[in-house]
Amino acid sequence: MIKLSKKIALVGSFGVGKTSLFRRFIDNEFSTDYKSTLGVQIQKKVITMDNGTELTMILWDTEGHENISEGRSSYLLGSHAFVYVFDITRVDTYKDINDQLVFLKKHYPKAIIKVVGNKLDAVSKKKVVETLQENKVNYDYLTSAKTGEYVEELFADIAVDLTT
Amino acid sequence: MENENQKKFYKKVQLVTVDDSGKIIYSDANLFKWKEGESIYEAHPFFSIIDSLKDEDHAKEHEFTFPCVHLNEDDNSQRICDITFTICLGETNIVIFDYTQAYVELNKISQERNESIIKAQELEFTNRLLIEKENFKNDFIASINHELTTPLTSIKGFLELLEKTKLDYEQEELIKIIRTESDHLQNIFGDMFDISRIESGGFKLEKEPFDLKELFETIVNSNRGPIENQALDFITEIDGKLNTELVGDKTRLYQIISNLLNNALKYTDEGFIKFSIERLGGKNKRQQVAIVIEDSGIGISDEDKQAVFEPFSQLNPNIKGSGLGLNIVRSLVSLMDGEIDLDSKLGEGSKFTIRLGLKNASDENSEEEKGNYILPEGEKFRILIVENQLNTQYLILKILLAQGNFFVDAVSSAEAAIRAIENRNYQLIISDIKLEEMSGFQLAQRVRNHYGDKAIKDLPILGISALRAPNITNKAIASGMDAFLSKPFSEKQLLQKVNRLLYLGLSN
Repeated sequence: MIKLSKKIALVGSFGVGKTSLFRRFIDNEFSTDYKSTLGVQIQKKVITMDNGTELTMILWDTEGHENISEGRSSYLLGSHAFVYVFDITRVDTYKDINDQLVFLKKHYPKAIIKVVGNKLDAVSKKKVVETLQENKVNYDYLTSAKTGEYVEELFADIAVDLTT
Repeated sequence: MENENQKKFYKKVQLVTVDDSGKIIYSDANLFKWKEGESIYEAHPFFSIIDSLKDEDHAKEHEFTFPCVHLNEDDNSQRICDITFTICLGETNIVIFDYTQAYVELNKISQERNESIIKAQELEFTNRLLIEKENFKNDFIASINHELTTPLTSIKGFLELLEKTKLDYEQEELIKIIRTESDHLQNIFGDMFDISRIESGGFKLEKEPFDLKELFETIVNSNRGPIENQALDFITEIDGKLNTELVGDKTRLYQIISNLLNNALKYTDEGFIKFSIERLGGKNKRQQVAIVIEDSGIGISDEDKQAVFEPFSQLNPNIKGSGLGLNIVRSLVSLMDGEIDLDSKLGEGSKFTIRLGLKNASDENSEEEKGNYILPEGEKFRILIVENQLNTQYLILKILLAQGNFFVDAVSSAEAAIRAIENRNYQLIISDIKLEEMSGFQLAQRVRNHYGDKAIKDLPILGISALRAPNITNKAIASGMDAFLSKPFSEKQLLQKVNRLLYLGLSN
């Protein structure tokens, strides 16, 4: 059996729900209380792919920064994938997203990047799609850590990308 | 000899050495009880980072620091640590500094800061959504209003013409019913639109000279019939000390008083309705007045006194109305910087008192300022109507031709209007705003900007529309139109605007 271990860093502004996505995926739990993340917390989840590959996903839930370059660069070292999370109810968390993605692609050209708008439970999807189009934001997933909507799909997609 | 501080320091630091495969070859176990021989990768997933830090040049020493990392053992006790890796010749020396206490303190500040920023940003978003919803609602109301008002314009206009024909008694009575119902319909549309405009902040009061006594008499005359038909006494009083030549929005003042009288009529079965205007005082150019509408109706309980001013509130659901009347009254009085008081007792009646400061008009107001424009006798004027609603076009045509001093042409599009004004001399254009392809606004812009010929360039333009967009009058003026008239309009209103523009055109 092939065994792989890959590092996935969750990045993005504070309060966007990185820790909630992390907890929803790792423990299938959610709390409405906001607790800011200081530094980084790391957990792993082992999944077996359809082709039999055992993938250990090591998730780094990093503290939020409006600008990635202001964060601790060591947290991003050796990342195989990034989940860039923004809050669909707060324009400030995605207004500069394209600059942030350019930074990631420049410094981590081999890494997979998934752009995720979280808190889908807070507003109608139609409204969100319109607003994001207006702001020229391209995203891969719209999720709700609260309801779990599209969280499994997001990480399953990353897992496939990391093993193919 | 170690002092106490040094002992404390050692308790907060752990040294670990691992070999190339990740096996722990040394650990002082000060913080975490990892044992020699175990894999560091099993100790915590964080340490899997070591592999990606290793360089091909094994002999070269590399150092990496990871601040503020959350590490925990099996018992779930968590420490927040700074961790340094020194990698050389396949071995990795790990130094773990436990700064949990300091970081927890620091996190409190960060938590507070983040919470307040998040709340502010979420509020901003919610506010934006609310504004969008409100705008959508207002646009919807404006649009539906347009769709409903256009046919109503035709109904009321033709009714007015029909009333002037020879009718027998039964026909007259039937027409009265149609008029009452279409007036009621118009009032409901008007109320809905007024509320939506007031709520959106797009409502502007007019400033025009008017005679308060005339307004008083108009209101009395139009309400006397309905009130006395219900066997109620209609008591009216106007203070003789009042200066009645004022400046303000007489249409809205009329609306306020009519709404209150209408309300009194709905809830009074016997006794009286009293309408009075009293001078309270005032200096120089401003006069304080009290407008009082009192009735001997069912009255309002103390609990309902505030609720009656809320939208869609009706004390008796069996009584016909939109439930918006008193809400509009309160909003309009507030826009006029006035106050409204309600004094009422259940079963004894109600008394609404409005206190307003109204501006006195100057004594030099001319006939023109009062809205009376008299055109030279015997002179004929050629007017072009641009209207794609054939019923409205026909209605205007009929009204104008009946005056005897107008030649009238009618077209259905702005393009046709351009061809007409280039080929014939007109003294006035009456144009609808919502035309196919080129709008009335665009037509006005073109007339003002594309012609060297003064007779065309300065041609007076009267805009008409059933559109209820906020500031539509201002938009019409900004496009180059000289005046604007909302549909539905009466014969008198149309002729007043037409005469004014022709009169001013002659003066220029």
